[in-house]
Amino acid sequence: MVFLRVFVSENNSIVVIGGGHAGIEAALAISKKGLSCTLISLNKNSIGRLSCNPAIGGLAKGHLVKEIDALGGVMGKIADKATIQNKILNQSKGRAVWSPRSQVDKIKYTKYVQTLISNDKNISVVEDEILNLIIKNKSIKGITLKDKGAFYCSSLIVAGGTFSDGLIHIGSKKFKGGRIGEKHAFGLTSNLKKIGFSIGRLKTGTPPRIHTNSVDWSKLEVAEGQKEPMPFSMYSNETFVPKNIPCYLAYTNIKTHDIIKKNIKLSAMFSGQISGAGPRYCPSVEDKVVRFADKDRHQLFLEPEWEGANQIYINGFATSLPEEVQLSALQAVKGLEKVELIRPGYAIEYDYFPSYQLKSSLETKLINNLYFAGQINGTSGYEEAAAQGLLAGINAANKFLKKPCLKLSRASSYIGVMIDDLITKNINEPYRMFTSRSENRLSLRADTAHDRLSPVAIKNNMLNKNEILVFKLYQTNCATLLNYFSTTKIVFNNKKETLIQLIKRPDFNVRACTNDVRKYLKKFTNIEVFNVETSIKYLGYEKRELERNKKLKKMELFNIPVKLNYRKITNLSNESREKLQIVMPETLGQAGRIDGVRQSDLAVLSIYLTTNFSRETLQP
Amino acid sequence: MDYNNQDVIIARATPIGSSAIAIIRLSGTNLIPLIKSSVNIKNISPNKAYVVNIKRYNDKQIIDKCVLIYYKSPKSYTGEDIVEISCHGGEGIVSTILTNFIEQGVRPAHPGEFSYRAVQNKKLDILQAEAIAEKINKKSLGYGLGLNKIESGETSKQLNNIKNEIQHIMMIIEHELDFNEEEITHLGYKNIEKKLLIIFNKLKISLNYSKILKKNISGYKVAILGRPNAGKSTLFNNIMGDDRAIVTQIKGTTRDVLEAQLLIKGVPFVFYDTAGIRPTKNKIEKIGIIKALDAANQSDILFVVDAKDPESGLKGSINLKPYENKKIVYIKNKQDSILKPKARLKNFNYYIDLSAKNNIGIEELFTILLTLVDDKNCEFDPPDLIACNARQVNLLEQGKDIISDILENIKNEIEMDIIASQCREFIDVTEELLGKVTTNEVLNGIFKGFCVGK
Repeated sequence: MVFLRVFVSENNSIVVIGGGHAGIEAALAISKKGLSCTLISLNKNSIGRLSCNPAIGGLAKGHLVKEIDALGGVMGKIADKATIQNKILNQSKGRAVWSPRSQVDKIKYTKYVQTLISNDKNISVVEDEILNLIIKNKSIKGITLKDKGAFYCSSLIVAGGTFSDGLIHIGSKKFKGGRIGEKHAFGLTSNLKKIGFSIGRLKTGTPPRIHTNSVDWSKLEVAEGQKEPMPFSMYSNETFVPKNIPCYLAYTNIKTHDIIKKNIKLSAMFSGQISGAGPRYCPSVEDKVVRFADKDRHQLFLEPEWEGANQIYINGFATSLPEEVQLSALQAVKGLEKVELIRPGYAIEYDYFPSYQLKSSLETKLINNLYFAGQINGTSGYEEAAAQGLLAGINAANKFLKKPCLKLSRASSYIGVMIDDLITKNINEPYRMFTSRSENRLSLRADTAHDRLSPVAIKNNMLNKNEILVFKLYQTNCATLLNYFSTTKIVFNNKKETLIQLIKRPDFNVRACTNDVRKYLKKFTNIEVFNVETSIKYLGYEKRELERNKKLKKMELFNIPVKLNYRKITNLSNESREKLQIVMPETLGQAGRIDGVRQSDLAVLSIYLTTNFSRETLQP
Repeated sequence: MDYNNQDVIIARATPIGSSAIAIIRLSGTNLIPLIKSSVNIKNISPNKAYVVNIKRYNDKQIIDKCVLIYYKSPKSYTGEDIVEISCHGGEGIVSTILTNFIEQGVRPAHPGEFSYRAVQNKKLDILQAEAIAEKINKKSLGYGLGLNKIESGETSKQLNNIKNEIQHIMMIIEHELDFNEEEITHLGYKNIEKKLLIIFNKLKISLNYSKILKKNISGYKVAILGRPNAGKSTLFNNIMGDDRAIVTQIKGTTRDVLEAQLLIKGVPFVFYDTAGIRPTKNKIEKIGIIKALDAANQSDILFVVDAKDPESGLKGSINLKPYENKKIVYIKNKQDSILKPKARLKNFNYYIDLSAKNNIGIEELFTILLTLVDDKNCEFDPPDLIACNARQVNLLEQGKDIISDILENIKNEIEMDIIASQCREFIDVTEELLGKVTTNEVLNGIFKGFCVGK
């Protein structure tokens, strides 16, 4: 870590604000592309901290981590190194929704991140608080820091997370902060508001942490990890042997529910004390008790926060009830009779900037060279934040290097789906990734992430020499394997068929057929065999999705000139005109996905554009 | 043609030519001031008929005494303000009234523009507009009860119901895929299968009826075939009750294919009179024969006419094999002496003796025709879900195939991610049917087929 003592005009560096998952990926991406950058954090010791659950990945989020890895990001690599238990979720369902999830050692995770950053010669870390943006001619010129004053930069990535005007609630108690016990930033949101950004308010929550020694573990169910663990990163295949430290299952009961119901009015989320909208899909325990009144138990997942931790995270018990109510509700749970809290659960309200204010490069539409990434855009989750940070970092660097901006389409990746949703949809609750958000779920599988995105990463200088080598080897091996499957015939059910034909059948397992085949497969990694096998199973469905995308492509390739004045297009319906004027879509395809824009108005728009603009303007 | 604008439009809604009454329609926003420039009337209430004098806006000369009705937005066909003027049907009057408004900046409407606006203003959906297009299409023959189902919006409602049901199934599957919690009520394969089977049957029935409806719109095609001088044209004229085809003693008089439409007890038919078929070296005759065979190919029913032996009469000249699965009526013509015509059924084909020249047996021939078509006398009871054109049938067919694929996959216990994706495909198809994802080209294509004034 290089500490800058003298703050001269550094006109040509990129600054990243925030050392969370988004900020880390952004800074490291910029560095990987050979540029220097400054990471500004309120507290250098909290860089890379996991503020909520001790796990990376999960349903749809696992897909995101794989995509981050494929694009040259670090989340997957670090998670793999810090994994204490790995599991593939959804294995009873189709492979398109199989999703890896790893319990990680929070201390190690943070340590690995900090080592990575401090060893990076291109990154300087500055411990300070940002007060103001310096803007000239609608372009970012620098920032003003609390201690160190004016600091000049050519681009700025804001990845401040919940630290912007955060307000923590525990029962009726409330206090300002971004994470309990840490500093927070005040100035930034009001400053951005003054510049002209619109602001919204969201909330999220975290469950209590308890003492390991206060739990009667013998009364709980053990939840073990995967026998054959699956790493996120393509580059940690050989080294990935996690310890498989178990988690435990506990269940709430009627008594717990009664205690919560009796005190429901004391919950900050129910008393009306919180105004921000919370995530429906990650409900607080009081939410669950009220909404699923007929359920007499809910599952709690007890996760160690690090190896040998004295601190346990209770997944499924997010709450903003007063501390004493949290304690007595938990003590009604079998196995937790004598539980002691290290820290109560709490809800946090924070500012976000509705994301229609962004371009698909994550640069703001209002100010040139200013990028937003992570929770500030209304998303929730480490993985969502990291993906945005990565993209913002790549794009800030690309712009600096005068290279074309990296836009990921909906058909390319979950990251592309997320960015498109952020820009076109009304985000009024924290946005998290789901596989159902993609219309190409059968193609956007976790096992295809590298095939889809590593070539993009190479083009954008996001893979180093070694990574390129590993990827190319993987590609060659997969091609060899596919060739073997399509040329080798074996007898199955008295019929001689090629392996490719047989693999398509649900009742055929290529790992459990003839000795010859098994021997041949040993030349390849489990992941290579799994991926090629899966691609064969899904080939027909992928083709269908491809065909559907072809139909839509015309709209996606229809560019809309920047700063088009929609008020001039009188034939548009009022509702559509308003929405279009606010969102300022980049393509006709994007325009069509904006909530509230009518189909017939798209026709009006396309006619207006073709009659008023040259063909060149409208082509990408 | 640009349909996407907000001009005030005008068109005559009745056909060109003298008639007792002609109707002129205007549609647009805020029509009243425009109307008042030509009509002396203080207050116009909507949905009332006013007898008024229409005057030229510039010199206030009275053009005609008319009936005027005002429909106020949004309660009108287009959803905009509409004024309908019923004037006397003389060409001079109609065009003077049209000119009177056009000179004030009103634009003559494009074909189907009124309906286009109705769709744009959500007064009609695409399905309804297409049903209306079929109703006013000159080629449409039968009235087809099914068209009313579509026009009234019943079909759209049914389609939306099916879409919602699939969406519900999909929602539950998606929930299972995206959440790993125990709060979820799971929907087993069996349950999904049951629901899908009901939908599949609905679509199947609907497609069967849609085929009948299509015939009802386009008519059943009947080609009259036979050797030269078998009396085909005489029969054709007699069926039409009109001397359409030239009839002479000379073999090969009919060269081109003649086409005429006829409603028999409400069922529409299209008859084709064709050139006589025989081995020939004459170039023109050869072309005529090719055309005759072409007509036979496109027909649902064949009349094979011969004075001696209709069954073997054509055997030497053409190969009847390709037509084997068509319905064939063998007609032994020129049976002038018979008093009562005989009709027999053999090998699913009908045989009848008749005399076209003396008009004996024609009624019996009609009875045979009606028994040959599916919908008898058009009194079939169409289901609420029905399709009326190629686009609709095609998409409905696609939807049915997807459901049948899903059922197959469920039987093979294929995983839910794939089934969910197929549900999504089905929803895409219904949305395309309902016009929710229609491209501009499709829209313009549909409305160009309309006549001006609708």
